[in-house]
Amino acid sequence: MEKILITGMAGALANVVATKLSDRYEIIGVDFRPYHKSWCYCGKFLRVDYTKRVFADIFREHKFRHVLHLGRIGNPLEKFYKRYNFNVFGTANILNLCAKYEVQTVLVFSTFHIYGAHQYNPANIEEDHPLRAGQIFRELIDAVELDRLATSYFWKNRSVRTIIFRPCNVVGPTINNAMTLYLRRRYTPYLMGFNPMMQFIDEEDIADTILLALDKEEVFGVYNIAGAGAIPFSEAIEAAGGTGIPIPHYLAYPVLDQLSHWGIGFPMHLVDYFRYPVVISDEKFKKQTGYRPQWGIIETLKRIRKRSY
Amino acid sequence: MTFILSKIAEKAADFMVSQDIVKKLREIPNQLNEIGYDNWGMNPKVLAQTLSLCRWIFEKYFRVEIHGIDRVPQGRVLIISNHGGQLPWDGTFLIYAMALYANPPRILRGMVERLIPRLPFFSTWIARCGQIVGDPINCKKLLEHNEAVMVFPEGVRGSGKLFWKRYQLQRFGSGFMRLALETATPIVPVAVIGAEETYPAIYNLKTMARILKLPYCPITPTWPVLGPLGLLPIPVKIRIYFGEPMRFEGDFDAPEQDIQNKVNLVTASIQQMIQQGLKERGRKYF
Repeated sequence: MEKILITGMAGALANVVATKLSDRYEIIGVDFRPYHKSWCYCGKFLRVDYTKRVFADIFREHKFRHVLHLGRIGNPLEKFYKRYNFNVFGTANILNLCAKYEVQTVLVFSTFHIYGAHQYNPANIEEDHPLRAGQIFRELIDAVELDRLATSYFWKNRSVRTIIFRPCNVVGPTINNAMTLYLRRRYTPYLMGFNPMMQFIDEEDIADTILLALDKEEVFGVYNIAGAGAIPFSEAIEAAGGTGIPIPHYLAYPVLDQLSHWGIGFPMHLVDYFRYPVVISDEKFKKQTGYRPQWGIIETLKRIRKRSY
Repeated sequence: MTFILSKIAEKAADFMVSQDIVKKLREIPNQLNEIGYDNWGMNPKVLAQTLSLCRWIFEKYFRVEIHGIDRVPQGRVLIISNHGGQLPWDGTFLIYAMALYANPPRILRGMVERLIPRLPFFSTWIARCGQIVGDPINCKKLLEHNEAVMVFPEGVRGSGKLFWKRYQLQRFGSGFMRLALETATPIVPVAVIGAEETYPAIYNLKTMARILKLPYCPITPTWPVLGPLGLLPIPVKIRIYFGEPMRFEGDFDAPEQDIQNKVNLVTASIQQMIQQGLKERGRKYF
């Protein structure tokens, strides 16, 4: 059985993907965090720091055919230097090891946040659009650099099939990322008078796209993944079963700025994503693979509250 | 409180919406998803509510008169018009005309100023009405989907000009021509007569505009002297003239001078229609 390395295994998304892959591959899951006992997949797990040299031993021992790098720290409340270390140096280490130990496919899980929430944004942003996030907020530079590292790796190591996914907001019953937790609240604050179009993809759907990318040899390069369609944020809150609480933007920014000094509240650098739309186009992926999401927009949001663990 | 008010406003708008407008908007091909929005945030329900609420303003207050709308071809088209009158009433007249009087009806996608997304409520409302940020990528994608796109190539140079410069076309940007060449889109030149007199600006407070981060800050005979009342436009009769479609061929990446020569043909056509319209109007402002 071919071996596959999945990073970020202590997270929900890696577990959903691993469950789907477990009958076809021998999976080795790694993470710097402890493993959550209640996850659906209970395979081989190693707790390891991706930035350390000892990480190479796992590559040396297992001779992986595929590597799914899903272990980006997305938690915006995590300390910046820690996020930067893991996301940038960790990714660089993983990519170097993939080249050294002749891994066939590397899939790097980036994010749509790197396009940046800006008032000039067009709709249906394609993969070649400039990455504005770093220009707007320094706190997102780790995500931009991770993506750039993967893109330059793709050009430098043409023998490795490198796939870079830039998905929209991934939500679902198992996932506990910032957006899902935000939408699970009974009362969800939003910026009064701003109702940007947002895109959501279910955890099952994103797992299917990862499987599809692994299966189809012709899939390589950068891909946006957008889900079933765009929805205004206020309607997304309603569909997720919450009640929107409008907060004037001229109050929200200074209050959150003050709270951020104490490490509480909502991260300032993500507030603009609730003000300006960042709508991406996944036409390229859909055309190449024929992919259609299993869950519609409303069903995706309704499923958020049906916690599966 | 805001939530309750918005629900009441929504119910009131639903009650007032004209069924013929709803029917016309239903006929228009679109890229709506399963919940009735496109990726730019357009929602025909809100557009129908807005057009129904504005009907009285267009038909009774401004008494909009439309000439030659049957010249607008089917499929992708760029509507290029003169711009004036401080607030973009001319854009709303064109949206109204194209939705209710074009055959087949069209949802006109206006390219709005890039400062608009910063404004609460207004940014959301105009996005629901199909208006988009003035970005060439947006325009190209809409044209590729055979939509009708409205461009005011004068931009704020046109809308912010003072009263004694009325009906004198300001410099046209060339971006629309490059997009027309790239997407093989016909251009329909349009002249709007009357919009320039809705707010006759006599002075532009440039320093105030810089402080408020606005493109201009006009003084009119009624604004700011009469306070909010000064925002009421003068009820001038509006006349809209649609010209014959113009088709251009050539390299969209050609040197600026070549593109500008083509732009000059469109400018000349609009200027000629303006002169004709002003001649027909004479002194009948109302």
